[in-house]
Amino acid sequence: MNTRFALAMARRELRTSRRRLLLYGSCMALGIAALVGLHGLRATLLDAIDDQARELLGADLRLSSRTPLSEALENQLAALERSGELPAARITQFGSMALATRSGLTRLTDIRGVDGDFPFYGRVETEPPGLWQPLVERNDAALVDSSLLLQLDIGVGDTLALGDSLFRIIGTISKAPGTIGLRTQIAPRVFIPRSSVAATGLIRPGSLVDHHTYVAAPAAALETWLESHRASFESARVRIQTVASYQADLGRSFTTLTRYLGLVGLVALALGGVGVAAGVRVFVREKLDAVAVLRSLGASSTDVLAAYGLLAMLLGAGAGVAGSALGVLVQAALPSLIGELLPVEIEARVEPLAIATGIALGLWVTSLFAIGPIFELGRVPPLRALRRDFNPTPRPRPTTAALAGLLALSLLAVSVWQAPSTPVGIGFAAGLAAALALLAGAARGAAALLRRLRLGAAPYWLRQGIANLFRPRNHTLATTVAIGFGLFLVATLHAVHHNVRQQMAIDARPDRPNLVVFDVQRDQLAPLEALLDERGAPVLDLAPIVSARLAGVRGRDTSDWLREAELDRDFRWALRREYRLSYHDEPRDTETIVAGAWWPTEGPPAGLSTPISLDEELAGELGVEVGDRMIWDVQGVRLETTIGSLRHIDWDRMAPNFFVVFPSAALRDAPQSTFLIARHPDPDARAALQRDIVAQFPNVSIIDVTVMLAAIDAMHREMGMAVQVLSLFTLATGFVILVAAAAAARSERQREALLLRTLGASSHTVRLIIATEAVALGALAASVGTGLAALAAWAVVRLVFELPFDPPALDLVGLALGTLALCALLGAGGSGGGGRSPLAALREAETHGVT
Amino acid sequence: MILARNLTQRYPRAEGERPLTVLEGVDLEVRDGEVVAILGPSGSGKTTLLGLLAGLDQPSEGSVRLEGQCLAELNEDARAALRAECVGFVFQSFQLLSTLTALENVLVPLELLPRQRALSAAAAERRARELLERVGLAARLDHYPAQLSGGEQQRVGIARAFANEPRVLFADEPTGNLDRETGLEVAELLLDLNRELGTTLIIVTHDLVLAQRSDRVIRLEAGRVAPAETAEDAV
Repeated sequence: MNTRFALAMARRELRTSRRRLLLYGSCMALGIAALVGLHGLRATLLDAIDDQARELLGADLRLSSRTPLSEALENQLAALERSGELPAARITQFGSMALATRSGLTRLTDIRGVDGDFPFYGRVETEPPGLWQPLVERNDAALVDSSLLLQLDIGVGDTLALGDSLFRIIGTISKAPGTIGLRTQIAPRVFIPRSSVAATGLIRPGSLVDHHTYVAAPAAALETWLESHRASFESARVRIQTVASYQADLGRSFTTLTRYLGLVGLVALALGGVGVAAGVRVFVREKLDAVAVLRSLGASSTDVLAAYGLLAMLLGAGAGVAGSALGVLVQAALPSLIGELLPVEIEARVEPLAIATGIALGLWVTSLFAIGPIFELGRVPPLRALRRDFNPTPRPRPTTAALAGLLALSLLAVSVWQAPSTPVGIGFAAGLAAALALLAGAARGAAALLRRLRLGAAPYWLRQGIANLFRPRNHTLATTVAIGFGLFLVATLHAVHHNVRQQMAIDARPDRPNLVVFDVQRDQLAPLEALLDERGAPVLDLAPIVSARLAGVRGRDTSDWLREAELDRDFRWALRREYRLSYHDEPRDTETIVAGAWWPTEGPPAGLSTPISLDEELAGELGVEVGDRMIWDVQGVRLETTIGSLRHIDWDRMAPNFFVVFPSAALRDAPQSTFLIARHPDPDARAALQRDIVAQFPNVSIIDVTVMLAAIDAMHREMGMAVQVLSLFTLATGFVILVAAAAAARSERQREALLLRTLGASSHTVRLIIATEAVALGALAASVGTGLAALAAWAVVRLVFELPFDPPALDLVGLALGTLALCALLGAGGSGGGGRSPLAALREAETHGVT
Repeated sequence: MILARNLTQRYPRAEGERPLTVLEGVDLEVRDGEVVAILGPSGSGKTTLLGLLAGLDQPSEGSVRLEGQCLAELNEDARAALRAECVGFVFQSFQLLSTLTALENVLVPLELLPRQRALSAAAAERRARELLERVGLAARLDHYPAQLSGGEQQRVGIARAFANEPRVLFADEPTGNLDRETGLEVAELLLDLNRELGTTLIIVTHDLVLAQRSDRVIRLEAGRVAPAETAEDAV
């Protein structure tokens, strides 16, 4: 290879093609910017989590369980505490309604009874400051999240009724260990002294309570202590959270979020790659004659490949640098979009690794998408310098197949690397590849169809314009794929977003169930139903709930299973969780039996093992099937059961649904609470009703679904905003491609437009021809892109979100028409030669490639 | 020396049709320093013969030896290397690279020289300037092809063809795109430079004046060499 020649040629080409390369590069820069911004944010955030995890946990270790620690464990802890080896603090956490006595408003809250020296790391900041210590020392004080004051329309100094007790709000919490995010919108935190929890009367048998023990100790001592007690923790179903596992959990959830957002960025990058491929293809076509001359003068194919490959690399590196620079701005802007979703505070900083990733992506994507067309240059026969039309029959080359394979593999690798999980990555890559293949197929099909079209009687410009779509050197395929793909992505994102928001709007409608009441005790059910009826909020559905644990499955005791170190994550979760069992004797509307059979309506035959019905996914996690035996610990009573059937449950419908259902006879007498849903259309009446329920039944919890949906909607809006901002990058990339495609089309058609003018066609006719081609291409790209988008959105909405699909037809038509108009405008904008004389323009066009 | 034996070139046609024979059984020997003109009507195979002699294409049958090397034994890149070292080209439609200035166009063959013959950047530029001065374009060094007239462009083409001091120069109708007067000037320049540098010159042409000034004329008719040996006979 002649390096000197390659460098000199690349430098000269760069000099004269700078603007075009800039245009191609900007196709990619936007996608790179999105990815660099997200990667930078993730790196900064993971570092912040590492730095702050101990302060966020507030201790070196947290032990959590649904029941208080056993006496033996407590005694050991107490002994260690006394010796000063392992100082501990405790928090009792549960959900309950809070009633503001002054405003009469109620709200579901996250109550935390605290004691001891919590937190051991970091500190709790209050407003006014310095109220944390006094809280623990007083019996009737409460500190709350400031959002609760707003929701209950009260202030500091007001009184909050929690169950049977009254607490005075002494201030608000501005910072405390633990992450909050949007949860405060649904259930704001109320901190009270732990010694006052019992007096509220809110903790009853079957109540959902978390008992946390926080421990501070040097890592080595902690490790030894944990190891020696791990077995007893496992069998007591105590969850262990160390600083390291907390870091991992926080990091994992945020990484998943940024990875999903990253897929949107990847879409923009893939689109940019298609744009680069389309642009470079035209560029290469224009260079064929020049390369033939170079070849006849003695340049080897390697020299040519090196010169133009270097040019492509410069393009890629340029796009990488520009994209990274823009990515730094994206990184700085993202926290303001998804700030509520971030677990920790972060400072903006430039991430060298993210920037290096950006440049590497630029180089890689350019190599992938530009190398195919550039390989064509290496194959230009030198004889073409003597005979311009010499074009040997193209032989299928192994390099072409290898390149296509490499491209597909790379797309797969980058998708899997970026996606939250391998299956999502594979699905994403397959989806993109299918969309590209369908677009390419549609373009080829349309060209073939147009070729058969008889337009004998049509005006000359129309015939010529349509013929341009299938004549040699047409760019039907490249343009349809590039523009259609851009439109497809943008329209799909929009249609999915539209459907999800639409569904939330439906759920919030006043004719839908909007009150969920739980923890209703047996003796409270009748008076509560009467109250609801009286207030015009009839009970729509109800179900009894019995708490239980799984005592044995697949022939072994649960504690036996849990002693095994290597257990599947899902299986371990299914073994350890506390189950909310229910009972009814006929399947509900939301349940479909997929295996086995339901027991007879009158109840199962006596004497046999109790038949139960399991959610099919839970059965998968537990590795059980119909006929298998399961042993339950229903609040101290062992119950042997046999799986009678598996159910598919429609979890999306607002109805009481349960993983495990028993026949009524088996659980009717067990300690239980009731869960019910009701509806009242008027928000004020709902608020009053909630207040009265809480006053009369203090232990009962109520969720106003519209309030919860508003909180979810706020989160959704935030996510949606981030997705939409990233989609804008895709849209902008699509637009750049549109401009690049139009410019390429113009440069290709200029020469023949001028020839036509020389032969006597008016500039008006020439414009019409070029405009016809542009409009036809736009129409093809827009219709195929939008059609595919509707199909993809349908699949995502129906299969992933499992929602009914409502196509945003008007929006889609608008998008398609907008694209079409842009194509027409850009295509017709610069039609052949303008007002110049044909001779002057012809001369310029002739010197375009070689002279 | 160039030695061609039984050169035949056929191009495949549509399925079922016989291949198109463009050149058939051409034998040719060109001595070092000789000026040979190839004449013939359009479609007689002149350019095809030129392309085969220069190694731009492979014959269907027969062989070519160029500067002692059998072209059939060389792969495409080896033939390119041979061209870079000892072959020059002048084209009918000039074939200047439009994105390069006149000086840069002449520099290209110098940049493609094999390592053992490579000139330093300064020496290469000096040589390119001298050649452009020699063809009368000293004032046009930094002009792009679009800024030059047809005659000027062909002068750049001639300067480029001689840049690597080729032992063989192939010219494909070098005056074909020029008016008579400019054509004469360009032909003069080509032959002068050829004499000065002792290059073997093979010219495909319709220009009888140019043909008359060659040492020998080969006349092609329907892909075969017609029996005429001297320039006067042929013309």
